[in-house]
Formats: sequence, C-alpha cells, structure tokens
Amino acid sequence: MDIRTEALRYLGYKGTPDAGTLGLLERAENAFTEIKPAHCRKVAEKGDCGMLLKGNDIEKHLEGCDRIIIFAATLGAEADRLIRTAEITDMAYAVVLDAYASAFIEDYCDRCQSELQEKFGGFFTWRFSPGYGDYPISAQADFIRYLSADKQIGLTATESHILIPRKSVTAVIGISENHQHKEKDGCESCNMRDRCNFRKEGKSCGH
Amino acid sequence: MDIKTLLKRDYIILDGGFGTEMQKRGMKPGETSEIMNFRMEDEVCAVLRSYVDAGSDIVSANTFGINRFKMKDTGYTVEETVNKALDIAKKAVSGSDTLVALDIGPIGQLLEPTGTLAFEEAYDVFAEVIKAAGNKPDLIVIETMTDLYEVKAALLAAKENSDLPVFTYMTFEKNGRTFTGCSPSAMAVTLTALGADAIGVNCSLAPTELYETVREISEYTNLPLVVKANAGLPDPVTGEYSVSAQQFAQDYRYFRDTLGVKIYGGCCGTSPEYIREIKKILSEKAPVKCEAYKKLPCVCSYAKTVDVTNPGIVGERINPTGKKLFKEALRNNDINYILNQALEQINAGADILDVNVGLPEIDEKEMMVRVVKALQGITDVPLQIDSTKPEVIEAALRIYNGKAIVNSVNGEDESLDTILPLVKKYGASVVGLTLDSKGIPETVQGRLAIAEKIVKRAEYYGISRDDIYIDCLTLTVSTDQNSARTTLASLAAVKAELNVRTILGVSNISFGLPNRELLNSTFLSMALQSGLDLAIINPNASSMSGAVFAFRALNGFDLNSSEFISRYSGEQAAKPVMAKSEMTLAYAIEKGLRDEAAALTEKQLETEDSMNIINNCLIPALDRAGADFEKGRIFLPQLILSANAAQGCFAVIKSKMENGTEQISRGKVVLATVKGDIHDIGKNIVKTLLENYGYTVIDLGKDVAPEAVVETAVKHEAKLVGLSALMTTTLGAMEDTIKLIREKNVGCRIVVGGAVLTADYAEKIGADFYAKDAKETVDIAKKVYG
Repeated sequence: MDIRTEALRYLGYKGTPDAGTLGLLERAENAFTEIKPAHCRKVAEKGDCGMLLKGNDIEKHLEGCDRIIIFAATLGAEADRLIRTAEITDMAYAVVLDAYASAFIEDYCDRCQSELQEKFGGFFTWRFSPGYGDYPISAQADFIRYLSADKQIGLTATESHILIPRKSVTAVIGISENHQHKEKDGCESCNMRDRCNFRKEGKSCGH
Repeated sequence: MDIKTLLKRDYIILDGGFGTEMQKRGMKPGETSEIMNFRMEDEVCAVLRSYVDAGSDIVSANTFGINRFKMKDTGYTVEETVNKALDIAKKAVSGSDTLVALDIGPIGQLLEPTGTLAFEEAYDVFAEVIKAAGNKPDLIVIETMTDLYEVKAALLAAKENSDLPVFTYMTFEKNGRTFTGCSPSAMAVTLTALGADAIGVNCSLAPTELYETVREISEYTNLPLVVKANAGLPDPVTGEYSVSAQQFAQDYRYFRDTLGVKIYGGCCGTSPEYIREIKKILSEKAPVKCEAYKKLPCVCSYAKTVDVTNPGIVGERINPTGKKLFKEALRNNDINYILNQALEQINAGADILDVNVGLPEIDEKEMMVRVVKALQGITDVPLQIDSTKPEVIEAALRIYNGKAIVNSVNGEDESLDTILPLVKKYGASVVGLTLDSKGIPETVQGRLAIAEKIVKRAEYYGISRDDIYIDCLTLTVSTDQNSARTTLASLAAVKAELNVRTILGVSNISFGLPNRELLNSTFLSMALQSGLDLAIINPNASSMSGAVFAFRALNGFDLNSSEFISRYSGEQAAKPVMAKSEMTLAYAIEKGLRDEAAALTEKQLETEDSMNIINNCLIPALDRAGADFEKGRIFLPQLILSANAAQGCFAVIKSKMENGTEQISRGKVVLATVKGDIHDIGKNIVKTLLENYGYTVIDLGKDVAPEAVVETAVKHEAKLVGLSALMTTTLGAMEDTIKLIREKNVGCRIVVGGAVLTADYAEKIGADFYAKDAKETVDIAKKVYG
C-alpha cells in the first residue's frame, strides 16, 4: 500500500478525501522529500539474545526460528521538528504530517525488511516490537544498547521508555529455514486491543 | 610533561579505539564498558598501555559512558567508577610522558526540545563526573557528541567545576551534519566562543569522508583542530574494518598538509598499529599552519550560522512594548502566540530574532527561558537576547544553543561591568548603545566617544571587536531635523574608526510625521549605505525588509540576486479575499475556508450584533461540523480546518469589540500532558479545537509535574483541567496529578484522554470525564461551562 493511502487510513478516511485534506497531504509529501530515514540491525542466534527477549508473546512469535534480526529505524530529529513547527502554525497540517510520518516509517521498515529478506533468504516473521502483547516497553533501552543505535542512527529512549526521535521503530524479526510463518495475527498480540478505535468499529489498523 | 607544554608542540597524538581493543581481550558486544574498570582492570590497563607504547601523547581513561543514568543499576557509584578508571589510566601511563584525559561521552538521552532531558539536568550529570575526577586527569575530553546543546552543557560544567583544558569533538554524518542537525560552522563558532581549548571530529566516518566537515570547521575557528576518524566500516560478518592502518595514515596527510590539523587520533576500529602509522607520517612532516580561518563576525544557532559581513535583518516583533495582544499572551503563558510571531518574521526574511519578554507583572527570567527554549524547538534562526536585567540575560545565554547577541549595554560603567563579563563567559556578541547617564550625545564625536569606551571595555573583558555591534541610536527627525544626519554620520565614524559592526532600530525616525513607512524605509536605505550591518525592523513590513533585500542585490552580497529573485519573481499583488456573493458564513466555516469566513464575518458585522453572529451562525456551524465528524462524514483534518475558520471569525469579532477580549471567552481550560510523557500532538489538537470554540486555554505543555497543574488551575480559577497520557508507563503520573488536585481541593473538574485510556480506567483513577477525542473534550467543556 502506498504511503499516501496508508496515511489517509490512519486519519480515518475511506475512499477519496476532500480537496483540503489532499492539499495538506501533498504538502506533507513535499516536506518529506527532505527526510532521510536511517536504520541499523544485527543478526544473531536466537539463543544468544536471552537478555533482549522478554515475555511469552515474543517467544511464541519466534517459534521455529534459529536466527533473529534486531532492528531499529528512525526518521530522525528533523521529522519531529517539522511536525512541532506545524503544530504552531497549522494544526490540520500537523495532524496530516503526523499520520504521513507514521505511514512513512512503516513503509521504510517494510522496504528494509524486503532487502534483508533478499539478503538472508529463509522465512521471515513480521516485526514484533516492545510494547506488543506482554513484551515490555522497557526493552527499548536494551535494543538501543545492543545495537549502539544512539551512535548508529541517533536513536535514544527516555526514562519512561519513549523512543526519541519520535517517529522510530524497534523490532525483532525471526528467520527460519523452513517454517512458514502465519500472517500478522493483528489484534491478538496487540496491547491496544481493548481500547482500539479501529476494533470498536470492527476494523483493524492493519498491523 | 604538562598539557600546556604539550599544546605548544607542532602536533599531538591521541589514542585509538577502545571498545574494539577490549573486545579482542574478551569483552562481549553489548556489555557496559564502564564496568570493565572493575571486572577487567588489567585488560583496560593493557589497552591504554598499548597506546602509550605506540606513541600516544594523551590517552583517555575508560570514563566515556560514566554518568548517573548508566551507573544506576550497576552497583557502582559515579564517583568510585570515575576514580577507578583514572587510577587505571594513571597506572598505564606511569613511567612515560603520556597524559591522561577524563573522557566524557553523550548521556544517552536526548536533550529538549528533541528529547526530554532538561539542559540544567544534563549540566548536573556532567558536573557530577567532572567533580568526581577533580585534579586527577590532565585534561577533559568531551567526545562523540551529536547535540551541540549537550556539548554546551558539558563544556559549561567543565569550565565551572574545573581548571583543566577541554577538548571537544562531535560526530558528523556523511551529509555534513550531526544526527540532531548541528552544522560544522555552528559547532566551531559556538564552542570557540564558549572557550574550548581544541575542537574537532571523531567517530562515524573514515578519514576521507571527514575532509569537508573539518575544512568547514577550520574556516570558523582559530583553535587547534582534532581528528579521530573511524577505520571505515566493519564487515558485518568478520567485524574487520575497511581501512587499513597504512591507508588510514595516508589519508590523514590531507589533514596535515591542507587543513593544518594539530591533534590526531583514531576512533572505532583503530588500534595501536594505526597510532604508530599516524606517528610515522607526522614525524616525516609536521602539520602546515592553516590559513583557512575567515575571522568573520557571526552569530549562530545549533544549525545555522549568520555571517554579518552581509547586512542582515533583526526581527523586532517579539516584544510586548505597545502591543496589547502580546502582553495578554505573556500573562496567559501563551507561548504559541510568540512562536507564531517568530515564524511569521522568519518567513518575511528575518536573519536574527530579537527576543524581549519584559513585562512588570510577570517573572521575566522564567518567561525568557521558556520562550528561548520553545523558539529553539521550532527554528534555527539565531536569537538576540533583549533585556535590561543581567539575571535575565544570563539565564537566557546559559540555555541558548549557539552564539547569541545580547541587547544591550550602554556607556555606563555599571552596565558594562555587569553585562560584558556575561557576554564573554557565555560566548555571545553584544550590542552597545551610544548613550550614558547624560543621555544621547547630540554630536558625532560624543557618540563616537561612548562607542569607543564600550569597545575598550569589551576588549578588556576579552571580547573581540568582531563581536561588538554599536547602535548609534535613532531620534525623531520631527523634533530635530539634524538627527538623521547625526545618526548616519556617527554610524559611519564608528565603522571607520573602531572597526566594529553596527546595528540600528530605524522606526523612531518618523515619529510624529505622516507616511511613516516611506520615511522609515528611506532612512533604512541611507543607513545601509552608511555601513549598517544589522537593521532592527519589522520584517513583515514589506517596504522595510524589501529595502534590505534590494540593498543586498544591488551591492552584490546577494550572489546572482538569487535571494531577491526567489522572493519577488512570480509575485502577484495580494488578492483581496472576495467572498462569492452566494457563499454564506456557515458554508465557509463548514468548508474550512478561513479567509472567506473572516471576510464574511466582517461584512455581517456591519448589519448584525457580534453575539448574534456567534450564537446564531458560528456555534451552529461548528456544531454541524462536530456532528459530521462523529458520524464519520468528515475527518480530523477537516474538523480542524472548520474550527480554524471559525477562529478566524472570532478574531475579526474580537478586533471589533471595544472592551478587550475576555468578554467572548467561554471559559478557561488548563491542559497538560502528564509528567514523563511527551506525546503531545493529541493534547495540542484538543487545544486548537477548544480555542476555536471560544475557550481560553492555558497550555502547560508536555512532561508537566502535578504541582504545576494544581498551581495553574488555582491561579486561573479554571473550572476544567484536561490531562493527556499516551503511554501505559505514564498513566501513573496521570493518577498522581488527579490525586494532588483532589488533595489540594482545587474546585475544578478533570477530563482525561489519550490512546491508552479507557472510560473505565478514567473512572478508576478519579477523573470526572473521559474524552475519546478532541471533539468530545469540547462537548465536555460545554457541559462544564454551560
């Protein structure tokens, strides 16, 4: 799915949006030509990563995998600055920018994952991040230390485990040689499942 | 050997990689290297000793990551770890001439505004390490930094808690910027002014990839330069780095022969072998003295350097003098209003922004710090700190991320002797007004004499002439027709005889005369021709900023007139907004057409009472937009656009009302994103909607302590407080805030919202209302205020 369609979905739109929103979306697209996302990753034997993998859900997610990819990506400080400035002058634009940025980082992660898939072969699981299911959000700091993500891509976490820059992703991807992984199980492992607006309307966010 | 003697030599050799050498000796990746001071003491010592043997003049103790955050769960204190690491390093260099550096790396958390760590706390974190080290090391090294703000905190902590020399290196990416956007010139200008003893680059890139960055730094500083490159990139499989020791040293010749770098070392992937190779090329031939330093008068933010050899615009609009709305914004803590003023001036061409927030009934120091921090979050235009109070100036300079201008000192000893030391200490430039206790001299000689006194005193305090901007002051021409000539002649004399820069506010000239703009812009052109460097003007007045753009183009400062062309080509005369005759105000609001809605309101006000328009047109139109949003017929951007259009109407109505703005406020709402949480876009959407629906919002921002919420709710007698949290980890802080509000018996209702909240949870933690989105918050405000 292209970034624009995805951003519109985050904003709640189905079908063609109004001209005003489309205009804002075009502005966001232009602004994002200046944004240069970055990522870093390490491939490791699952057994060597005990300190990183906490909880039952991640274990279930990695069933049948021998190796895993520890992955982090960020849009960088400039994306935050862009949204912060828009919040001062034009909140409607800020909302669209924010949605666009979220769609952009997801798309970037997808592209990184495709490249990795090509490089390593085998079967990949989808990206499982701290905060999903019972995988504690406090693992963010472990990810950053393990990857030296602060040095590699300028990614840090606050004391309350918020990733900074804000539009960033950390995730684990499992690799197995012969195990076909099921598709994303969507809401099952999501810690938002009880409060999600998509779910209340009988839909899913697509994760 | 001591550091002072060492600095007199032609070149200095540092050490190479530490982590990679420790891994060769058994440290595992991901392990905290600070702990190795205890667990692998001998290996740490052996790595450092291997650099001593390879020829390093300075080795860094293994203190890079020691700080209170990283040591928290290790069982060791900052003090004991720093001392242990220094003792090991001392042991490693014993019997040699090699010196030991206290090595300071990034804290690991980003500072505000990108992150949440306050500048003041970062300072404390560094000061703790520096105090723990005492006089044990020979110098302090601040390195691998990506945030200029963090470097400033560390450098200030070093300067205020130690007498040791300080070397500072930052880490740049291939695009010539650091991760937080710092440019090489801004780094060089800021750190040189702040009193670093050597500056340079380390980590992330191979030698050849750093040439451009180091070249730019060399143009903006006369300090010794430092290079500690990586040995290229590690092979993902073998871990071997791509640039060999021989190649590395070969590539360093460019730094030696062309850029005149004085201090050399290596970073990740380099080993004692690399240091030996570097020593070889340096003993073959010493670095050539570099003549790249341009010695420009400049100011900068973290990212942008403004070179004042090219006449520039200082935007004067951030100043409450004579501005009712600005004063009200200050009283209501409405930082957004001020930020809007900033962005407007930047779009109009301001190169520097003057910041004055002095108002008798507010705490100017606290407000100045808030505003400067907020401005740094949204713009990289350098700032001019404008206050009459030394404590306000100092507070602002301390937290300013770059090299600012201080506005101002005058010819009085008291002013000079209190403010100039601050200018020097914090590495700023300064405006000097040619007046003293006897007033403004009427003659050119009189003003020149005061200027000379200011320049001499500044030099006495160590401030260079490049950092002085003399303001010869503008008096009204209607009371004395000589005044324009006197000001211009003084300006020219100051430039010619004192070799400093000049600055001038021009609008006084026309006071009491008609067509002031014509007089002002003509006078501005005359001043520019007389050598004015910085014009303090309202850049939004196109004839004023236009005079500067035209002057730059005509004088060849604006290369190929490209700035002029991009500003004016394709410009059409501003179209008056014409509302179509069939368009109604309600339609304009529902479609989010702000300009049209404002024009229609204006028209309707001719025949209709303002409260009628609000009650019969604005509010119902907003309600319809709200209902459409709830039914999923329109979405958030459209709802905000509608609300925005309505706000345009409110603004028109407010400006027509005689008795101020309070009358049509529907009530005050205090908003805050709770302590520890920084996801505030949702809160900001709520704020926009509430304001557009006519409520006055007191916005406390993000990461807000419970006490601040209580204090503000009491002070403003707000009936409604809104709290937001996005993380499960910060819900506790929300609960604490509610508890404190109840404990203190604040007579307000509480509405909570945010992604992880539910109605049940909101009830459990004692909130009065749960709002699932911004629209619902507005409905709740309506309920509360009736």
